[in-house]
Amino acid sequence: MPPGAKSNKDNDPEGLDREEDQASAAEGLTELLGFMLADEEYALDILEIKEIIRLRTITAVPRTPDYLKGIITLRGVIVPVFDLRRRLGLDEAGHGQHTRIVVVYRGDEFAGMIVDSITHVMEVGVEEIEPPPPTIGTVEVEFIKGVTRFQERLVILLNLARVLDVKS
Amino acid sequence: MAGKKEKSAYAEFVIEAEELLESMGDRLTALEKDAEEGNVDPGMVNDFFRSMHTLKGLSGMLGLKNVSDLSHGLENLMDMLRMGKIDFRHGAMDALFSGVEILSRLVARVGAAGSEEGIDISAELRRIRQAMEEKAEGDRDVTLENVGLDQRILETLTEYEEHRLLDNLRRNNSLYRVEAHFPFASFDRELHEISEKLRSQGEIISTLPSSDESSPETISFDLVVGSAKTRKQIARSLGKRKGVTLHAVECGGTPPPAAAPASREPPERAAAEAGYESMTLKSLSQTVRVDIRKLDNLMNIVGELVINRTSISQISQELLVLRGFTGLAVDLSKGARNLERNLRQLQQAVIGSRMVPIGQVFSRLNRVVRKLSQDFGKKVELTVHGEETELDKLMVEDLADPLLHLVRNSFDHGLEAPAERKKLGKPEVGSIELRAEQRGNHIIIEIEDDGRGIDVEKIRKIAVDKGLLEEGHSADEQSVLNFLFLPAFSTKEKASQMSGRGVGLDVVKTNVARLGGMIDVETELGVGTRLTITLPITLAIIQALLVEVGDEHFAIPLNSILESNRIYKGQIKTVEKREVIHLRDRTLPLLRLADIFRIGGSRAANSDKLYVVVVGLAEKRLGLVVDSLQGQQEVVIKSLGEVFEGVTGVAGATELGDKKAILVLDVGALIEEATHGS
Repeated sequence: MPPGAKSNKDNDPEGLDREEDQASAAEGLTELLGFMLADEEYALDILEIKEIIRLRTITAVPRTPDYLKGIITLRGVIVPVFDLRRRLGLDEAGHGQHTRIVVVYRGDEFAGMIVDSITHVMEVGVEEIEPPPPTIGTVEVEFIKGVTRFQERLVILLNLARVLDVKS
Repeated sequence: MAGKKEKSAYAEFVIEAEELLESMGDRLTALEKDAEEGNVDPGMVNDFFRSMHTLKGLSGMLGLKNVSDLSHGLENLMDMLRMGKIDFRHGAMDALFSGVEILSRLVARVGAAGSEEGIDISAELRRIRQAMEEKAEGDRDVTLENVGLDQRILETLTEYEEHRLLDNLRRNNSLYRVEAHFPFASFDRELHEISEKLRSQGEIISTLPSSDESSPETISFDLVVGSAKTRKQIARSLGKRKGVTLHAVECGGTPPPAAAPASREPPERAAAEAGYESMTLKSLSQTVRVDIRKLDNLMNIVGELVINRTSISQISQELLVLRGFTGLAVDLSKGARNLERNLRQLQQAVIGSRMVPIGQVFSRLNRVVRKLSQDFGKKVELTVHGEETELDKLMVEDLADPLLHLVRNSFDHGLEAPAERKKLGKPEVGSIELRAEQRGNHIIIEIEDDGRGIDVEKIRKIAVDKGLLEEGHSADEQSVLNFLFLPAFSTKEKASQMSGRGVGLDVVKTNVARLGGMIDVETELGVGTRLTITLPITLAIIQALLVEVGDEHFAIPLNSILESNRIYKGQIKTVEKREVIHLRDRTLPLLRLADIFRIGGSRAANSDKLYVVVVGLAEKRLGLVVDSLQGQQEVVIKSLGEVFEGVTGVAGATELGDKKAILVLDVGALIEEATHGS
């Protein structure tokens, strides 16, 4: 059974359709949220994601690494924001109208990650995810959990725990 | 090993027992003072007696044998005291103080280890027995013989009431009998009312139902009252009341040597009387115990509301300039203003619910000083003022240790031994004074002793020896005294048993600074030392000054700001590569926020005029250079979270009305950085 795209390509992630969640889990499928960074498509498990918000004013926190963009407040909660391009060692780029902050769970807290744009939610069979090849573009292997193909394109799954680990 | 169920029962017990012991400790301190003046408040004695009885019951139910045995002993002792069988003399007071102390330790042990093992109470029980053998001087010098009370009344008095009556006579108080006839429908309320009135004038020795049957619709009482006031004063306080008559009671002249009081009341009445006449199963206190985390949560919600309110005000401002919305905008801003007023009340109420009187800590200190005084043979009187001053519960707990240390310091280093004091012409009994008072949004706590003071020259010498100060440096007294707050700076060559415990004034300073407070020393050689701690009332919601540096905004807690000034570039001098200015006879180091936080586009870098916010924490001062001041605002401080752990100079963040986060500066860390270099 070929997995199909459930969401659309009109960058409307707020309207994520999740009504088939239970069915897909039963069939060994996993749902991924795809997003673009420097012309490559990346993905996170949808269960790791709290919400997706538009870019808003980020308050810089001094004396922190470059990839930590600063903080935002989300309904009264302070959320740190990572510049995902910088974190992965990619070139920095300006922010445009498709730029989004993907808010993910980080233990008991949250973290935001800036991405170029959201692509879509995809349903992928668990067995279709392969371990990362030794070399994959410019991103260090430690940040990658695996790769998969979706509609003939390569999708890179991020190792969220490593990306958010600021102690390393 | 205690099972889970027992553990939770213990937890409840520990909370209740601690409260009881705390209140008993408070009463003891007051009792001791009253006893010295020979004027013990019987109400207080009864309260203590009842608290001890409750503790005995609680611990007995849980099978905590030591707690229950010891409280039983103390209850008996207290019973003899309140019956006047023994006097409030040293033996009894000491037994009570040390008994309460041991009980506290036992309860703490139960709380921590789930058992009372390891604490021996046999010495305490012996002490109590000895105290109970100290015979009272008692009621021998006065008798009831010539008291002009009806024999029927005298016969119904209980042993305790009789003792109270005699005690009043001995203190040359007058006796009064209040005759009251109340309608059946309202007698309980009316009796309560006049009892309250009478208690404000003296002591109600007994309330007796009277056999007067003048009317079937009324019920009559005789109240026997002892008071130092005149009949006129008491009559005035009672006011005109239907059915109430006040009689003065003849007390007789110099009584002849006494015969034993004649009759004793029947035993069942004695049992009923033993201090429980007003006892019911209903809890008397109207207090609810609340987990402080629930209050924290409430505080957060209030914080959110404050932010939302700001958004609404902003919308109404924007609406005001739009064509066609003026009417709505005015209504909205009116609504927002009302909301603001309600929110302020709500905020105050929530803050108020976290507040506890600082007396809780003071009374613990009192017990410590007593103990020290006994152990080391230094006579000390600890006087306390302003114990009703209220402070955030969490802060009160965090203050306990620093205060304890300061009091110990005063006792150990400050106060001289009695012999030395005598030689100096000082009163033999040393004095330590604790004062708390609220000034605006701050609490000032002072600890003052009349000891030997601090030898500034000696400290200067040690500072030179330790290489902290250059030889011949003309540092002023205040900056020399500040060396006392450096780690491991001790002027006593040999550490004494008390203060040689590795906690120095540096720890006190750190703890006070963590609470957003400052500490100052004043001292005069041979006269005494005063330490002043200044604290904000609460930490959760603070007033902050908003400042701008480049395009960034920061909030500086107002309680650490001393002043803000506009200065000219020309006033800045450079000393050892650091910028300073002279302000009010002090050299003030400057810190440019734009530099240390690497913020581009700061106007202060090139401008001729710049703003300096002078901040101070504990005894240190620092000038923060900023581009502009943006006014004050109330802010709710939030943690930056784990990702930013270890970032220095920032205490947290807060949200302003426009959903933008603003960093709150950590003044203490910045001062530390500026004075020790980075």
